[in-house]
Amino acid sequence: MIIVEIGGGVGGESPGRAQVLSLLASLLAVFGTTLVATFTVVAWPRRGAAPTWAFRAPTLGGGCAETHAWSRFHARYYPMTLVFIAFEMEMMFMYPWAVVYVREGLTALVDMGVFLGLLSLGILYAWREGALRWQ
Amino acid sequence: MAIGILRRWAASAPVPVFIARGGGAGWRPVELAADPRVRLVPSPRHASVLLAAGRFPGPMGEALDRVHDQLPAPRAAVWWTADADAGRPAALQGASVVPGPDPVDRIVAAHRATVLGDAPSSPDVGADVPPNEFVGLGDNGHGGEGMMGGVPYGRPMAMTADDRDGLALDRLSVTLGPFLPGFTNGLQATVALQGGIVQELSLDVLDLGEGRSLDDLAGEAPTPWRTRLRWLSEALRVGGLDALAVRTARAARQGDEATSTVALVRRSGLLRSWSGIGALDGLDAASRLAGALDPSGPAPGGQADVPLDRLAASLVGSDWADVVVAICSFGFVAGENAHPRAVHR
Repeated sequence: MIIVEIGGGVGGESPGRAQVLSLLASLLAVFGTTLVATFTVVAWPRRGAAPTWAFRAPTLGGGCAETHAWSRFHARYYPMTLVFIAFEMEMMFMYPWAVVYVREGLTALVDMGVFLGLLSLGILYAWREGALRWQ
Repeated sequence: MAIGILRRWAASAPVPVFIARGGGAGWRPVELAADPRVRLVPSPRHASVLLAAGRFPGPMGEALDRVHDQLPAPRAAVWWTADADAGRPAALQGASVVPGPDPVDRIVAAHRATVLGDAPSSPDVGADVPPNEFVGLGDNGHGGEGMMGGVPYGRPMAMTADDRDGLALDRLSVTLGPFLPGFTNGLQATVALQGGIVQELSLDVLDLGEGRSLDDLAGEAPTPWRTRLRWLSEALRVGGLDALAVRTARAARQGDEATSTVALVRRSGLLRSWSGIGALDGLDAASRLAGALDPSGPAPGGQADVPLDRLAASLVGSDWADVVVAICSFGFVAGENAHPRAVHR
């Protein structure tokens, strides 16, 4: 008769429960490996033939392609991404500032005001140059 | 055992069929959507059976060969024709011929036979060689002038050209059709695309040969209303409304008034989504669609000479989806077997 102690002693789980869990994990690993191996052995002889060049031709409803399909599309969001990253860094500086703001008071307000003012000049410049216009 | 069960289930499922409409087929094959045993698919990659409807002389046969090879194995081909004595394209050498008015039984039988392994998959027509020679400066086809040299996978890279925004984008030259959803019989589009926008377009009609039509197999000519419903089913499929397309095909087959179906089409938003596309001679795609929905509107096939050259010129600068809609909207007035006389652009 095997007695398995249930309930932990002082300082941790009982050895019996840990053994059961490790046994289950081992069984699961063995079962999973067996399942994968069985499917592989059964399905491998039934796999289809490698696709031929005729099959790999692009589907054009009966037509044919004269050039390769690899082509470049214009990333029209690119200027917007750059603007976003720049002002995201501005926001990153505002997080620690917000933590100490109440303690520092007016000094902190003026410092951040100057910082934001300078960056606002940057926004106006970008606006004038058309960086905010969606292409 | 499990794989055997899966195969039997696959064999008994609705058959995914890709329809290639040739000479004399018109819009008649679209009615097959009404049969629950088949499922019409828009691409040969999704299909198990290729239904070749009509005649395929010369270039049409070559296009059919390409489409046939693009179906995944196991595949079968069925030829539905009123001219079985006419030349048989290479893709249909092993295909079963349906000389009668309904090919669905033969389609289902062919699908079951190939999936269950009773019949071999239809072999490739094209040779298993790259489409163009792998030639460059190096041993593997690589190299050439600058960054654009060589012919990877046998096709040259698209060279750049200026586009509408003053950028230089790659310009793809490609020939599309004739077996695309919404295209009239034999219509082929030669298009230069830059990032999805059409820069050049030329619409041609391939030779469809002479002979009987598929409607002759049924022994009676379809009524104008039935022709309208057939075309409408195809237009709904182009517009993405597949369930409504099946319902319209059923109404066409049963020959009923389909007033409720037409009302659903009017309320579906398709007219609104087609407005402003393909405007020519004061009518856009939505107007042509509205004309087809109206029993007192223009008769099907009433315009034998569709101005393909002017249509192509008007579509430059639009994207490819709009081009397909515009071409599909002309399919009604061009009629089932009309050969639009076109001047190449």
